[in-house]
Amino acid sequence: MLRDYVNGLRDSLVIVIGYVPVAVVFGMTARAFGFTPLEAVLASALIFAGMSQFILVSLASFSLVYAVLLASLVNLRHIVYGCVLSQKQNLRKKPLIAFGLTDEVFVLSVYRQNINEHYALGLITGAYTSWVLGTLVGILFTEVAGALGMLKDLEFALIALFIAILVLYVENFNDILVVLYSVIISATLALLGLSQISPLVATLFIALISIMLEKVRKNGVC
Amino acid sequence: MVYVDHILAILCIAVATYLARYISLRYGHKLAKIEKASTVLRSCTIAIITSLVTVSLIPVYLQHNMEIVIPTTLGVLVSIALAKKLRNIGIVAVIGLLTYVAVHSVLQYLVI
Repeated sequence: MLRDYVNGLRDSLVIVIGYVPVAVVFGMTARAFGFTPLEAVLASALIFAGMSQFILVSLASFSLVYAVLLASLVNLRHIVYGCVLSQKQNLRKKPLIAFGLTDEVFVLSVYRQNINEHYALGLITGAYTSWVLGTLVGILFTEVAGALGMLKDLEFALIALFIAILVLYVENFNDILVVLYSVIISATLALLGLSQISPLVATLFIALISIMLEKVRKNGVC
Repeated sequence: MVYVDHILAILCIAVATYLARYISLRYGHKLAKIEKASTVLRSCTIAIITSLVTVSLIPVYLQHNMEIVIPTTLGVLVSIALAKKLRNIGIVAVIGLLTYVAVHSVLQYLVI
């Protein structure tokens, strides 16, 4: 039991290396976008889902209801993770494991053969601790940047982070088309002064197109 | 000052995220069909991120302020160039930010 937990904790080092810089950037951008240190730490400690946290801080100044809606929408992909994991591994302590089922924890849990709940909890402990501590480091760094009058510059970290996520997400021609359509929709809405609703409009449009394409593929028209 | 609405938003997302993770983990074997929706969910995620990047960049380019446009462009190019090589979004974001800050500081110094 303890051995499996320690093994999980040891394997979480791969996740920690990836998490710390992202968590630092989250701490910085959350402060730059007007979140207090307590709110930034609470976001990391309670949500523990990077992409939705970034969406929350970037859209909070426009409408919190809208930010919650989009952040939750992005997290719907976790449903797929849970489905796949529950079929591949026989895990107990599901209420605890569910809290830490992030993208990276999911990948490592599925990759290893016959893991148990203690191993998964070890993975989650390492990932969660590094995420919250990284956020704290980011907040501390922001205090220094603020003293140097560079707080506004930190907002660029969010753009750089989203670009990095996009480059890594885009894998095939369909993804490139999704990016192109989203740019066209968002740019048009932004030029019309409706930039804040563009993520929702682009998402609805892409979802509609994707569902239609799936149906066409299923019916064998293409 | 802590904003109550910020805390409420954090709690709402936390609960929604937890429920999505828990229900799928608990009843995953009964929800196997949902796996087929993964392509759509993935496309939606790409659409949201692309849209957020686009609406962040457009005001920068509409300002025609070279002190902001040049560092932003260089920061974006560096982030694109490094993302596939480093495969660590956090480090890419930090390098992109450092590029932006460095170029912005140099341009400000030159203007002064």
